[in-house]
Amino acid sequence: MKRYRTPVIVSSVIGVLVLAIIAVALWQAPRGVAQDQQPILQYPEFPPTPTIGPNPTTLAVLQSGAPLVAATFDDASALSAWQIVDLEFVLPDSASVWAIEDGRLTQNATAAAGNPSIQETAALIGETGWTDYSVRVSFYDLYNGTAGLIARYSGDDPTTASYYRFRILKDSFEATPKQVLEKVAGGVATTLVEIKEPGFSERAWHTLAMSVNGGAITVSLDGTVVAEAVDPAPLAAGRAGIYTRAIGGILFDDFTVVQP
Amino acid sequence: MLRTSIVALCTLAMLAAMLAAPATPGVEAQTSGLRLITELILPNSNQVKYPHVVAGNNLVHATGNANRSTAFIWSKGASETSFGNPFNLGPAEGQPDYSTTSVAIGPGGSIWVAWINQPTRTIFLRQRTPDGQWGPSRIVDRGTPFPVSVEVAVSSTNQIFVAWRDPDLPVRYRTSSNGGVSWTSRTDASGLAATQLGLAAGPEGRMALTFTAGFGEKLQIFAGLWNGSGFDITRITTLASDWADSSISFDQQGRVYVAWRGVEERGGNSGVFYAERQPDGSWPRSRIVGGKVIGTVSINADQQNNLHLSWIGQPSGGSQIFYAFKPANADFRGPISSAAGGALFNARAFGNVATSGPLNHMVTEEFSGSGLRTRYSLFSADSFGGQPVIENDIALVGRSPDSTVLVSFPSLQGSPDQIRWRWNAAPTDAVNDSGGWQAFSNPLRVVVPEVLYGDTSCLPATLFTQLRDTRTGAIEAQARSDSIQIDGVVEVNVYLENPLARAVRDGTPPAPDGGAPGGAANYTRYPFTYLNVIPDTDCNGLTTASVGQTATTIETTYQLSESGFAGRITLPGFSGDAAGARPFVTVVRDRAGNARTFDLNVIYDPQKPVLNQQTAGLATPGQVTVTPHPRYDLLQDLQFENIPLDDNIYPDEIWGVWMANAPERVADPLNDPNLRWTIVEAFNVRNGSFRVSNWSLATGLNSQDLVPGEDYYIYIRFLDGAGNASDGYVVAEVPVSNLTRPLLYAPLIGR
Repeated sequence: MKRYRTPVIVSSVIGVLVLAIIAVALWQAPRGVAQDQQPILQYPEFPPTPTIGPNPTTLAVLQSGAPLVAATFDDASALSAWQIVDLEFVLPDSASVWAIEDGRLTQNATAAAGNPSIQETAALIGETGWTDYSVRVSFYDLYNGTAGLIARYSGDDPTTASYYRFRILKDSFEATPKQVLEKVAGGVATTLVEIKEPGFSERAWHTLAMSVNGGAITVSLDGTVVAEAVDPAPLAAGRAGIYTRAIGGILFDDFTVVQP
Repeated sequence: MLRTSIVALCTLAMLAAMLAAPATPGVEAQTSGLRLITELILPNSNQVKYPHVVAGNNLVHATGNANRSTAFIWSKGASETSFGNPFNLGPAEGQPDYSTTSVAIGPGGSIWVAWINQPTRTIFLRQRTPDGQWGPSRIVDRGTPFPVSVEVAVSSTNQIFVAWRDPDLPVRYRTSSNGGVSWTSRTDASGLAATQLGLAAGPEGRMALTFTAGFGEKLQIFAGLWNGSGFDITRITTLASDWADSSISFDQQGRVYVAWRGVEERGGNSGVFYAERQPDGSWPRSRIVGGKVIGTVSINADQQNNLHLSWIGQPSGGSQIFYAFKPANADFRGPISSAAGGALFNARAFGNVATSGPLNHMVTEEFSGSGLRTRYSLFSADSFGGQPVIENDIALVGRSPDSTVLVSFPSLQGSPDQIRWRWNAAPTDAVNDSGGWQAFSNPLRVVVPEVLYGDTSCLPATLFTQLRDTRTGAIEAQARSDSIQIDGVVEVNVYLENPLARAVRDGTPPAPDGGAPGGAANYTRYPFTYLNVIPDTDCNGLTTASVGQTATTIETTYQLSESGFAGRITLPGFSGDAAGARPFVTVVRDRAGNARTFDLNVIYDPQKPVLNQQTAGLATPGQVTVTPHPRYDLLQDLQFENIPLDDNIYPDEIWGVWMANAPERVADPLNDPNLRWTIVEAFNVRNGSFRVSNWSLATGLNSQDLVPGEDYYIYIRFLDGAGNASDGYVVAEVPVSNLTRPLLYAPLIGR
C-alpha cells in the first residue's frame, strides 16, 4: 500500500486542480459571451489619456468675505440647486445636459443622444438679488475648449437675459481673442475686454474667478488678474454661474460665491 | 496507470484553461489598403451646420448652409484635392442648425439638393442636370411647424423623396415623380417622434428610410422599406440600451444595410454597429468598434458592393474621424483616422468607386473656438497596389514587335510581388489573361491578345490588374484598370493596275508604242506601274505608303490623304533592267504606328509576243472559229484553238486579244488607220485555246459600214500581260451577216 501513496496523492491534487479550473471556466465563459459583443475592429493605438489630477488647492485672488455658495459636488443631488440654460435657441431634443459625476460638475453635451453642440450653455445658481460678489470655479478641460463664468444673470429667457460673462478658449483653438470679458444686455453682447492670447492649456486644472463690485469687474486666471473693466451702466444684480459650450468634455469643481 | 491519469488530467486542465481564458479581443486593426489622401476646408463654409455629401460619376458634391444665409454646393472631381468656390442654391437663413441641406444623385446622374429656409419654414429642391445646368428652385413643403433634418433621395425610377422631421413629430415625407413640379401630400412615416433620419435609394425603384426615435423609454433605431405607398417600419435595435444616429444604404443586389452608434460611452453597448437585413426580415447586428461615438454613423454600399463606414469617435478623449472599409465578400478593414483630431461634429460621408478605385468622401463640422467651417476628408480604400498606366497614358497604341504593351504603376503603394491581369474584365482565379499570378515588376510588359489587335470596332480596351504581396498577404481589394485603344491592324487595300489601262481611263494615254493600251494588273512594258492604296475602315487612319524593292530598302514614301493614294509609280530600283519579275514592296503605316507590308511583285515585259502562224484566216495548228449568235447574228462567238503565240514572260502567253472589225479585207492591218482596235481580255486560256463571246460586229464601225447581207472581217492580234501586241495577226471572216440586233423588251407602263 505504501508504495502507491505518493502517486495517489499527486493524482488527487491534480484532479482537484483540474476540477477547480473547469468550474471557473464554466462559470466565466458564458458570462463573457453574454456581456459584450466583441468589436470586429480595434482602433489604432493612441497615446494613453492622461489621468485627471487632484483639484487645485491654491485659492484664486478676489476670494474673500462671507460665502454665499460653496459647491464641491460631492453629492449628485446637488445638481438640483442649479438651473441649466442654453444661451441661444435650441430645440428641446438638443438641450444641453449637465451632470455631477465623480464629485465634479460636468458638461455632458446635449439631450438623450449625447451629441455635442457648440451652443453656449450655463449652469446658474444663487439669488436674483445678489449684487456685489466674487464667483470662482476650478475647471479641467478634456476636449471642450471653452470655459467661463457668469455674474449678475437676470432674465427669464436665456436668449434675452442680461449678465456679465468672462469666457476663455483653450490654446489649441485657432480663434482669437482667447479671452473675452463682455456684458450681455438683453441677449446682446458688448465686449468690455478682449485678450488675443493666451488661452488655457488642456488637460490641466485651472481656477477662474470674477468679481463684480458696482461697475467694476475683475477677472483672474490661476490667481493672476487677467482682465479689469468698469461698466458705467452696470447691471444691477443677478445670479452667478458657469459658462461653457455644450460640447461636453469639461469638469468643474470647487465653485464658490463670496461677498466682498 | 499513473502516467495515463496524469496525461489525461493535464489534457483536461489545458482544455479548462482554454475555456477559462478571456474571450479573444477584436482582431488587430487591419488598415492595409486604407489611406487618407487629403483633408481641406471647404472654401466659404462659414457656420455650416450638418454638411452633406454625395459622390458618383467620378464627381463629389458637398452641400451646406453658410453664413446663416445661403445654401451652397461645392463640387469637384472625385480624386481631386481641392474644391472651387461654391454655387449659391438659394436662401438658408437663420440659425444654421435648422436650415440644413441634403444632396443626392439621381439615376441619370442629376444632382438633387434639398434645403430648409427656416424663417419661412420652407423646404426647397433644386436639380442640376448631368450637363451641369441648374434648374429652378422647387418648393417641397411650406408651413410645417418647424422642419429640420431634411433628407433627399431619388429612386432608380426618378421618384424624388424628401423627408424631414418636426420637433416631437414623426418623420414626414413627400414624393414627386415629375422632377419636383408637384408633390404628394405630406405623410408621416410612422407614429413615432423622431430625432434624426436618413434616406437611401436602391435598385429597381426601392427606397429606404431610417430614423432614431424614442421607444420604451429608450432611443431606438428604426428602418423602413418603401412598399409603393408607404414605409414598412421595423425596429432593429434592442431595448438593452439607447442607440442613435443611423444611416441606411442599398447595395447593387438590393441588400439593405443600416449603421448606428451606441449612446453609451463605454461597455458592450458603446461603439459603432451595423446590420444587414436578412431575407426573413431580421437585422442581426455586428459591432464594428467600441467606445464613445458622436453623431451619425455613415454607411454606404458602393457600386461594387463594398461597404464604407465613417464616424467620429473619441477613443483617446478627443474627437477623430474614422473610416472602415469592407470589400465585397471580404472582411472589414480599418479603421484609420484623419490626420488631426479637433472639435469635430456631425460628420456625413459617402463611399463610391471612382476611376482610381474606392474612395470615401467625408464632411465634418470643425469648430475653431468661435465659428464653424466644413472639413472635407478624402480616403481611399485600397492604397495597396497602384493604378496601372498603359504606355505612359497615351491614347492609342499599335502592335509592338512582341505583341505587348508597357504597363507601369507610377503611384505604387506597398511592395507587391505578384500581379495578375485580364483584358476587359477583372481577373479572377478562374478567368484571367495572365496565366494566374505572375512575378511583379514595375514596369512590365503585358501580352495583348490577338483578338484585341484584330478588333476593328475601334473601341478602347481596358486592362484590369490586381496586385498582391505574398509576404504580407496584402492584396488589392479590387482590380484597377486603365484603358487604351489598341489598333493592331492596318485596314487598307493595296493593289496595282496596268499603268496603260489606268492611263487610258484617266484620259492620259502614253504615246503609241505599237502596244495595246491595257494589260494585266501586275504587268507593264514601261518602267512604271499604277499603285492604289485605298483605306478600308482603319480605326485611326493611314499615314504613309512607302515603296521599295524590299521593306528595308524603301525608295519613296507618299503621304496618304483620307482617300489614300493612287498614282503612277516608277518601278523601284529600275535602271533599264531586263524583262522579268521585279520586287515591288509597299509598306503602309497607320496612326497607331502599325506597318503592313504588301509584296506586289511587278512583271516588267517590254518584249512583244510572237505569233508563229503568220498567215491570215484559218491557221494550222491554231485556228479561229466564228459562230453567230443563234438569233442575233450581230453578235459573234470566237473560239480560238491552239493559237501558237510565244511570249517570254506571261505564263499563259495570251492575256488577251486586240480586235478590229472591217467591212472589207484590209491590206495592211497593222498600219491601217481605219481599223479601230479593241482590247478583249481572254479568260481560261489553255494551250492557246479560249473563247470570246458576243463580240459585236458593230464594234469600231460606223453605222454606214453596217450593211445586212455583207461579209465582215475581224482582225485579231494577240496580247501578252504587259499589253505587247503580236505583229502577227489572224483574220476571221464572217460571211453574210444580217446584222440582226438584240432587242430590249421594256415593260409597258400603263397610264
